[in-house]
Amino acid sequence: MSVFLATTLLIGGLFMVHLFWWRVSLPRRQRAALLVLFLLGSLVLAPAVGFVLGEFGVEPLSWIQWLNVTLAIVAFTLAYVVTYSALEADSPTLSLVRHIAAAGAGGVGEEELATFMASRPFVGARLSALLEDGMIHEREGRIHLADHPYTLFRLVLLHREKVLGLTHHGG
Amino acid sequence: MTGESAIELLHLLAPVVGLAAMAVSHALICRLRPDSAILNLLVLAGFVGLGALVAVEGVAMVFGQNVGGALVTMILVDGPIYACLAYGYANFVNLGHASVRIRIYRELLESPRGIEVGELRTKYDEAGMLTTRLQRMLDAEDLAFDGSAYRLRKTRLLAISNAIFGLKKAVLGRHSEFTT
Repeated sequence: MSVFLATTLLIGGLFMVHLFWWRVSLPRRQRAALLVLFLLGSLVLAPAVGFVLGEFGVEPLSWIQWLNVTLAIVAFTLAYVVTYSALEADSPTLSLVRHIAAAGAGGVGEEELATFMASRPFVGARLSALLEDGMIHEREGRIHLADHPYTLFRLVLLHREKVLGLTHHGG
Repeated sequence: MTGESAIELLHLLAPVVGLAAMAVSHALICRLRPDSAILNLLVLAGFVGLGALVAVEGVAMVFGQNVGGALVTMILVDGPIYACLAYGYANFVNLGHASVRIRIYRELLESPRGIEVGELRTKYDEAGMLTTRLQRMLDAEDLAFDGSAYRLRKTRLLAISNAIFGLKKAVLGRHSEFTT
C-alpha cells in the first residue's frame, strides 16, 4: 500500500505541474520536457513524499519498495510520452474511427471518408514535423535524411524486421 | 534475505517478467502467424504477459504473503505497472507498423540520393492512407462494410480515440491539430 500511495502522490503532483506548465507556456521540445519533468521531478519530490507519508503514519518504504516506485514512475512516464505523440499529432486511424462513429447507424460512404481525409493533411503535417525536428532536410527539391542517425526509429525498424520477422510495410 | 524482502522483490520483478513474457510470446506468435491482424496478436501476447504476472504473484504467496495482500498489490501496483509497460511495448510495435514518420524515414534510409518532395507526397497521399487504414480495420473486424457504407463494429478503437482526444483537450486545450 505504501508503494501505491508514494507513486500516486508523485505522479499526481507531477501531472498537476505538467498541466499548469503546458497551459502557461508550451515547451519547444515537448516530449523531452515531459521526460525531464517526470523522471527528474520524481527524484526531487521523493524525499518530500516520504516525509508526508511518514507524517500520516505510513510505514517508511524499504529500498526495494522505492525501486518499485521508480519502476512505476518510469513505466507511467514512458506510457504517457508514447501517448503524448498522439496528442501532438492526430492519429489518422483514430480520427477515422471518431468520424465513422459520429455518423451512427447510417455509416459513412467512401466518398465522404475521402473528403474527410483530404481536409486533414496528415502527410504534410508529418513531413513538416520531421523538417522542424531536423530529422530530414530539403535540398534542391529532394528530401534527405539528416546526417545524425535517429536511434528510436532505427530500433523500431530493427525490432520489426529482425525480432518479429515482419518485412511487409504497414500503412 | 527475509521473507518480507523476498516478497517485495517479487512484486518489483512481476511486471518486468510480465513484459518479457509478452515480448517473447509476441515475437513467437508473429513468426507463426505473420498474416494475422497485428492488434489481435498484441492482445494475445498481452494476456500471456498477464499470466506470467499472476504466476509471479503466486510465487509471492509461496514466500508467505496472504492472498488478500497479493491481490491488493497486484490490482493497485503490479497490474498498473504491467499495463503501462505493455502499452508502451504495443505502441513501440505499432509505431513500426502504422507510423507515417517511421515509413518516410525508412524510405529515405533506402534512398541515399534522397527523394523528390512530390514523389514522397504521391507515395504517402491521404487517399492511399485511407485505403490502407480502412482495410486494416476491416481485417481486425473493427469496421464493417456493406458495399456502400462503413460502420463501427467493435468499440475498442473508439474508446481509445475518445480517451486520447479527451486528454488532448485537457492538456493542449484543443481536440485536433487541424482545428483551433
